[in-house]
Amino acid sequence: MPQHLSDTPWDIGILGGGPGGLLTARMLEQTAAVPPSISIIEASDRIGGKVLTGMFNALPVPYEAGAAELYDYSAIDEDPLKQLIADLGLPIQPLDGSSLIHNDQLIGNLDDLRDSLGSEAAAALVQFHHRGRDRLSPREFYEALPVPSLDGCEGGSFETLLASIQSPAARRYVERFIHSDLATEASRTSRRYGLENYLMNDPAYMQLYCVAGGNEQLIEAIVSRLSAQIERQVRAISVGRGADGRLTVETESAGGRSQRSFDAVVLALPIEPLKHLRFHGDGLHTAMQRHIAHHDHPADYLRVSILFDKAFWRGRWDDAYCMLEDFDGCCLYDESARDPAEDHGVLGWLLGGEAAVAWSQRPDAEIVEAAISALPSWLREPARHHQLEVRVHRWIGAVSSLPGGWQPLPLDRRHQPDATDHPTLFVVGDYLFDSTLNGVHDSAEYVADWLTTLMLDRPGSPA
Amino acid sequence: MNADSTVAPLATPMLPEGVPAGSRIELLPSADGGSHALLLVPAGTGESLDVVEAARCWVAESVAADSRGPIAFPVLLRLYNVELAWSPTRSAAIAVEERFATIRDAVVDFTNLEAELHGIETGIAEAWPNYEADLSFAYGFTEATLGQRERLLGRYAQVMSLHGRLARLTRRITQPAPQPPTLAGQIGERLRERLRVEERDEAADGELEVLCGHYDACGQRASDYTIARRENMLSWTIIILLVIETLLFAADLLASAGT
Repeated sequence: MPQHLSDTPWDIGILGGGPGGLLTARMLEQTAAVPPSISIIEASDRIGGKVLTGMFNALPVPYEAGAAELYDYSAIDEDPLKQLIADLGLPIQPLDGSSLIHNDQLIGNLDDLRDSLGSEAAAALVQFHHRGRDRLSPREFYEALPVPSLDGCEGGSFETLLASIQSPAARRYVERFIHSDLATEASRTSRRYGLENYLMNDPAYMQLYCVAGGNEQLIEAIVSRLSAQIERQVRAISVGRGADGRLTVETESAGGRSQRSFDAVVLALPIEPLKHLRFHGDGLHTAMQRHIAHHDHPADYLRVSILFDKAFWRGRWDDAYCMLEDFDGCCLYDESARDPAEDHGVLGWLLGGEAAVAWSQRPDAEIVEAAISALPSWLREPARHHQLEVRVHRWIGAVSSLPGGWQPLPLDRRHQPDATDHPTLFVVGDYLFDSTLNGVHDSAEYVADWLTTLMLDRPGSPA
Repeated sequence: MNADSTVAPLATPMLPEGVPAGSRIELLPSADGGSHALLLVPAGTGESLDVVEAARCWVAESVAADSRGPIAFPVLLRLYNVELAWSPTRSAAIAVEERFATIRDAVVDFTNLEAELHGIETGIAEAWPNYEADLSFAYGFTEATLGQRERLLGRYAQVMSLHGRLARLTRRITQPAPQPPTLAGQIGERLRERLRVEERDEAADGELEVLCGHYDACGQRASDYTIARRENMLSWTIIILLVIETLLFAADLLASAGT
């Protein structure tokens, strides 16, 4: 570690222009006593990562191609992401829905479930729900407090918890209900993450909302307030330590390769690109391999969005979203419900897990036909008749099926893979918390606070 | 329930035209002693717009006299496999027959809750003119105005009673809906949302805080004045007694000097 102080501010490199990188930069600029010089290095030509609001060509109607919803924890305690959105002056829209379409029938509540699946299934579901609440309280969910009976892999995967549901029909209902949220199969995730994804349908745990007009407005609002230098289409190749003791990042762009030095580096990248980054030095290489191995549990999404000339489903289905049984359980969003003034209709299908992987290899036309076939019969024909334009987005390996790993590490170790030799190299990501935008906000806040403290201790650049 | 708001039971209304066979009207007893008429229409395979409109119009007939600020009646809900039109005195539901009992319970429960809240709001609205008239008593009393104490006590008791009723109602309003969601829970929750029950409850609580605070201050001033008056009288009594004692003492001295 370099010892002498200088008057120049810290030079911080952030690899990744997704929400993690942008949020870290914003928090650093807001909290540091001496604003650091920040460079955000993004490999693609687009900023925002998995937050992507698309626009149809046929009509200027937006749709969510990436993260579709945000989680509202304000019923339990402070919600920093919701507060940030309010501070940025962005309007929000709550998203309601609790139904699953089974055999063309909407199962919207326990009474419907009893009629469709039988009393035994209803009783089993109630029992599972109450046991789930007993196992993980809203406070434990919010604080991510350790729950020995759910954490770790010794007790098995989420599949073992599902197996405790006595009624096969109720078990199938729960599986279908949360499949697309999990983005993986029950056998590949932990009991805790699976249970969290089930319990988040209970308003005591959280509620869903979106930014009215498109979630990507959040990214635009953050970028417009940043002083950081954002470099697009610059790919980071390697990270190591230079002769002067600073961290070096080798990058590649249209202008060729170059090497840059930073006082601190934040790796705000998903696991997959992190795997392709080279780390110089045995210690750093080993530490990063260990970090990647602990967190490498890819999960998959596939999004189908269709624009219709009218929202023909209104009157028979009025929620912001519901679940379909096809694709092992898939979420159907009424995206046009997010803008009450919108005349046209937009439906969005969110496929997850193995179904997403399998269908992602097929041509768009086949995927769209399968998506429409998954609708209840009373929506299928109108869907074919009123269709104007379709979009398909593949997010293979883009999220984590096991955020935090089987046994989450302490927060310091999660964010600082090599504390001994590279104490100013940090990682930020949704995969460290809960695979959501809320999780990446928490991660960015943790690292920004840490770096701010380091900068307070050594106000000038350590170089 | 406020005894003043008791209403006479309704006669069973006629079935509206356009609803299918098997429809029926049930008169549900309400907590204020009146009745709430519920039209239950058995659902077929997808309702025609005519049936829905007939049910809505039947509910709308009753709502001319009802008022809840900006809320328009009937309130229309479309839940999973249930269509519901609600007003304070009439409701209509289109659903499969197996759901009728659940819907009936949910409608009775919500209607009573809303009627109680409306009764409290009416009581508060009636209390405001008195509040304006009684404003000066929160500052102080005079001999001439001391006679108003009993009347103020009555008004204090009235607003405190309203506050007590609201506190009991708030428990019901803020009670979370059952989970996993039931149809009755969803109907109650949606109706509470559409009738802005939580906001109205908060507003009523705020108003009652002001009213109770005012009459509490009036009581304090009346008490202060009464105590001050008693202390004044006691002081004068002591002064008079001391004067008498002094005079008697002087007389005694004069008498003893003479002998």
